[in-house]
Amino acid sequence: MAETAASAAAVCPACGKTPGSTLACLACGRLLDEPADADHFARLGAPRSPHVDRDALEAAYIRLSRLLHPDFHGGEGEAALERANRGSALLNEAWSVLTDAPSRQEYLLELLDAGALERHKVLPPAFLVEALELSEELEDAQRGEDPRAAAALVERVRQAMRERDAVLDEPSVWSAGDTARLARLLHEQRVYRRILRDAGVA
Amino acid sequence: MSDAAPADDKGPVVGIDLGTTFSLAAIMSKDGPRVLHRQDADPLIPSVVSFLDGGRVVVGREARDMAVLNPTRTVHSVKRLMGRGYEEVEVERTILPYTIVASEHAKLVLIEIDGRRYTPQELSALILREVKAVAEAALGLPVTRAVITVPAYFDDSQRQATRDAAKIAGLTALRIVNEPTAAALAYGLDTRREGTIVVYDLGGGTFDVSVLKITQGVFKVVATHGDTHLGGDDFDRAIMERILAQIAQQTGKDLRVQPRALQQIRLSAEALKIELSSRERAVLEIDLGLPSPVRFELDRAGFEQLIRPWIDRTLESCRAALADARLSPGDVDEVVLVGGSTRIPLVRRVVGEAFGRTPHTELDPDRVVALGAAIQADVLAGGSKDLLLLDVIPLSLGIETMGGAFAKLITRNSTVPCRATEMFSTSVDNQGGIDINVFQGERELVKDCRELGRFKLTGLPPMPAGLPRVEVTFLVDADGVLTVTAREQRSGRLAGIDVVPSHGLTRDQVKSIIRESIVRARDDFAARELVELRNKAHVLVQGTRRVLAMPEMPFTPAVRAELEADIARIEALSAAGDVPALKTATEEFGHKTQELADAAIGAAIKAELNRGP
Repeated sequence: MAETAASAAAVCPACGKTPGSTLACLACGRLLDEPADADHFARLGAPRSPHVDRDALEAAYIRLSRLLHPDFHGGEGEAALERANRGSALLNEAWSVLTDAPSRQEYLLELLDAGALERHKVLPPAFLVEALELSEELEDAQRGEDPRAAAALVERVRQAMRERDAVLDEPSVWSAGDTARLARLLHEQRVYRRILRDAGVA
Repeated sequence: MSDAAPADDKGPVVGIDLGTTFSLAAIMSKDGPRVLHRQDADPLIPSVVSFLDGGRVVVGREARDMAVLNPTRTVHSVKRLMGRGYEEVEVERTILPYTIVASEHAKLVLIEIDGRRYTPQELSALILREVKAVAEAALGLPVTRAVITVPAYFDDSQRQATRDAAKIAGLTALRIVNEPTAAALAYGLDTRREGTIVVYDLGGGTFDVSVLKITQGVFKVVATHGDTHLGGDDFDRAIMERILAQIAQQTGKDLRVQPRALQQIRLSAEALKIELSSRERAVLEIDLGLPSPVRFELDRAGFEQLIRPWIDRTLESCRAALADARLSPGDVDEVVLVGGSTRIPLVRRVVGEAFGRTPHTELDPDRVVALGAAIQADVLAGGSKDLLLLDVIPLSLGIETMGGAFAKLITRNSTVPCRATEMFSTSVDNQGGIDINVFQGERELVKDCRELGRFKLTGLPPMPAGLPRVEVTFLVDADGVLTVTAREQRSGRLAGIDVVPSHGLTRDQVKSIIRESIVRARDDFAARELVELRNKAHVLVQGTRRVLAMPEMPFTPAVRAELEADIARIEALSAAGDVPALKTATEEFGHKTQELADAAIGAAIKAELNRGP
């Protein structure tokens, strides 16, 4: 897995240290102009990876929020405030994408291969047929008020999701460069999530 | 945040709880936040405006006292109308005794009194001006900046309406803060606790529940849910319906058509409700000019049964908020109760049961929101940097797409500030503009969501259909208020945007209200005069007190008593806000004390000389 983009390796113009984020220098607090290729991983100083260290992410998020939030830039004029709003919005987006596993993985795939999700959205017919059957059976079980059958079907969906999660958790799967496979796995997870959501299962 | 204060803006920043039933201000002091009030007066100012004969307008307690005598010209619960459309306030139209009409384009709600029409923003501004005056009297300083609280579940138009009301009142709303979040600040500051807290806020007109996570002084709202149509007023009305039914049964009279009687019964119902929080049974005797007064009795069990459906709805909101936060009741460390309606024992009991812990009630539920707003005001004034509030947008925000579908761009419970960008193009050659309709809500079709406004992108360079690429950015700022900007990518030109708020006022309308408000100009002048007078009086009184305390001053007991009587009188006039009397008294006192000041200087010099080397 390649480490973050070049931006994170640059030095802070104020203190000369590694900033640790493209939004602001975590060492000295200076707000930075983001490079054009900045991404959510670089914003929170996290390596590009299907996994994140949630505690480290949260520490960076809180520190950056304190630096960027418009509350602390009220008296600095219009431009500073706009920059604070923009920076905070990017930071919040980075946090919500990186702390939600499906969003993070889809985002990572797009970074590795832009448009991959859109190009590989046609799923194998066998998978679709099985998913449709599963969904209908679940609906029938719920309508027929058969909670045990419904629970068993929900468990089957969850099992299928866990199997795919296990694959997606492998760093080697990501470094292999088979983005078509990754896209397919991620789309399949979406289908399963929709089945659970339609069935009213959290 | 285009109207944010310039860097050179000075002066205090107060926190204001602009409530459905009452409003109040608070400020941060070195001992923590405190509520502001006129000397010996209750800090809670009823959110009521009454139009009296002869064009006089009164606000607060005096206005509330007019509710029965002057029902159709006394406006209460105006918060329920803020930023709403005529068709959306059907319930309010039947409850509120004053006249509510639709604006020309049938979107805005207007209140008609003596043939003049007022926007809810203008009437809220009158309340805010009173709060401002109280704050100025208490601080002895002009107040121009504030943090104002709104229910968490207020949408963009309701927030915008609140900001506009502030502007009309001569206040810059540095921030709009959610009420439950403010309450969490007020509780969190004392204890510096970390963990997950739930704020259950049941006020007069609205219900909100918020789930917050506190980490190292950062208060992050993770989910919020609520109902802008649920509160103590509903309980009053339920009791009122019972009373009316009983009267109809006993006398055959329908009092619904008599605004005065209706107002009186409403106030009695409220009193009964309050009594049932501390007693098991309450009895009302209502004198309606009938041969014998109407006697109405209700016990606590009956009351609880009556309001149970509403309380159950609040619990559903709590469950929804927890689900959004992906938490179960067991994950919650603390529960905080806010709003006057949480004094009801049933509410305390069921909330305690729902979360399996005793809710916090240490802080006065009527004041806790204003106290929290004062804490946030201090942060924005540049005081504290220890604390940071990260709030969320309560409802998803999106645009109308083909066939009236609602495309969400920002999902609810996203931390603000947040933004989304979307590409738009044209469908016919040389099309000069693109219409974007923005909605807020959770449903699939725009017809089931709230229309926020229509944005028209203008000035696109002539190009074949589909060629322009207009990137539109939707930014929701820390107040939860939306701004939209657009850039045509091929020409790099910033596209012009005409905004037509669906339920609010345009910038020009706000400006013209400010310009036209004659009452405002007059009152503002009076308010400023009063503040200046009070300051002058304060300085004089302090100076005299210092002189009186000097051991070397040879005052006779009679002079001493006279001066003390003068001081008491000036302080009373200052508290009462009586401008002409205070002016005369201050001037006279000034002359009198001038001699004293000369004598004091002489005495001080003499004392200094006598002390020797």
